[in-house]
Amino acid sequence: MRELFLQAQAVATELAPPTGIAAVSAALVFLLFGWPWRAPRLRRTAVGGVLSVSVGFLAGCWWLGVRPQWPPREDQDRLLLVLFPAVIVIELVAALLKPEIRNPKSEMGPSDFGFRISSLYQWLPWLLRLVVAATAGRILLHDSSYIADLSGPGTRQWTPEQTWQILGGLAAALAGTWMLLSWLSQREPGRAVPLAVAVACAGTAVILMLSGYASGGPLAMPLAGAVVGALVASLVMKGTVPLDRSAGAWRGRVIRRDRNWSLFWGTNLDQCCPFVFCSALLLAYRIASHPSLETVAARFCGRRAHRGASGHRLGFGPAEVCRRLSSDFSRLGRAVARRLHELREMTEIDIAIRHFTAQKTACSLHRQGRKQ
Amino acid sequence: MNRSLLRLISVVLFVAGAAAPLQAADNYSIDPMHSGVHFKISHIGLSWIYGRFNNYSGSFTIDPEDAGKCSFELKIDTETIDTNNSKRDAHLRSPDFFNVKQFPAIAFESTGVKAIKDGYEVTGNLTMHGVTKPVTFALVGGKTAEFPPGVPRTGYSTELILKRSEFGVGKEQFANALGEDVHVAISFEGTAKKK
Repeated sequence: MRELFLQAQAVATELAPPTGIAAVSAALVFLLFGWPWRAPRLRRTAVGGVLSVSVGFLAGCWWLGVRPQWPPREDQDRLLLVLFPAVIVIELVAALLKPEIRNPKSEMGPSDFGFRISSLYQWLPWLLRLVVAATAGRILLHDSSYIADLSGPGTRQWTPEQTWQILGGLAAALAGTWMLLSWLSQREPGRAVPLAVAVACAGTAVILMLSGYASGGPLAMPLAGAVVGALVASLVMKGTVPLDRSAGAWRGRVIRRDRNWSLFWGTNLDQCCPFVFCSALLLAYRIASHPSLETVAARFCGRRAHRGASGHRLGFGPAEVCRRLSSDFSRLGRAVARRLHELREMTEIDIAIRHFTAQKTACSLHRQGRKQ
Repeated sequence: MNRSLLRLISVVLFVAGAAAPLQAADNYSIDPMHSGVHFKISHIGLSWIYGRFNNYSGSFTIDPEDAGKCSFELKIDTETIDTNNSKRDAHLRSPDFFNVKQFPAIAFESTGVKAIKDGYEVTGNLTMHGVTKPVTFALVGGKTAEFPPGVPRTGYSTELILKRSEFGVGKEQFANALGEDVHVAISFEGTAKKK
């Protein structure tokens, strides 16, 4: 237990500075764009959301000493030099193409960046996102032994059919996650979804590190820090925070990498499955908060739908998410502690049996010696 | 005159033809049963971690008369790294170090060979982790034997030091834990290819 605590302390010490730097950078950029003392502008705030998370993530990566090489040679280089800029561009396009008036309380209008966008192009970001989702797996696995004959003809590990199936499945999973998070964030605009995404990112970082990728896993911590930093900055701003889409996009990417690892290099994932479980649980939890699904969930779980005095469904705010998370984690912690206690008892019994057997053997040998 | 000249030419041609196989370079395939690729690296400056690669292949050509015609090729399967600890091996295979799914082989191909005392000085290109760098090392050996009878073979050994950062093996965060120099020891036997 003490060893586990020391390991956790060492990891936390290593990851705290880049996460903090990412959070501070993201908060500063977001405040710069959001400018809390002026009336909020939807597009500008949306652009600020994308750029704050991106700048925060990059700052954290810089602190971690991540230096991608050009031309890209490895999956991490392609992640940072190809996919990352692509996602930034797409999310910036999506932010700029946002409908002009979404929140009637704020003074949003066509003058955000001095131009109008036809609503005909609203589908463009989703088209681009689907392109990224469809090609992300292929880009990351480019020139790997899974899909390329690196050690001579016929040495690739996957047949073309398997490649299509796996990459297709991963693309569908990524696109599905992206859409689901976007849908959830539109249904319930606020800080709950990005907060859940940040927690899931932090969990993913630990998963990847424990899976045996010590230099790749920490990349998710600056991402979590950047999202949290932007969220904290958003507390001093008026109106809704349009962080959800960009955060959702990144969560999708992280999930994709996560699955990538569990499929390709997944070592020791059994030790990290609580984190995978928590990550999936959060998403499922959010999905289940849909009124129609909530009714189904209530039937199964015997719980009533969560409704306020006015009859409207109450959205889960950060406090509620934190409360439920802390409850889940404390339950998980108790279960782990119970299991460790059982293991220790078993070890003690085992040691006692061995000690007894050794004593018995020594006694019998002594008796034999006396007889002789 | 013409007849004697023809005889002389035919004798010269015969002798040259008979002597050609003796002077031709001998081709060998590396015998993995009697070879080894080992390495050691310092761990926080306290101890040495020893490891090896279990799977490799290669071939070489030896021309006793002309060292310039000698050549060496070696290909090491990085997936087969073995440090007697499965978790550490898995970590070494990951993108933190060798990234074996992206770079499944370490390859060496000689570009120049010079004869030195007891062997050769070999210069060539070493490709590891997607980076190709020229390396030079002394290859000692060259004794020949038949083992089993009827199978001629020869063997060489070398030791060299590689800078792992030059090949991008091991990220920066491992700089304090692992030494920069990797001491590599290669010893191999080759069985003569049938002509």
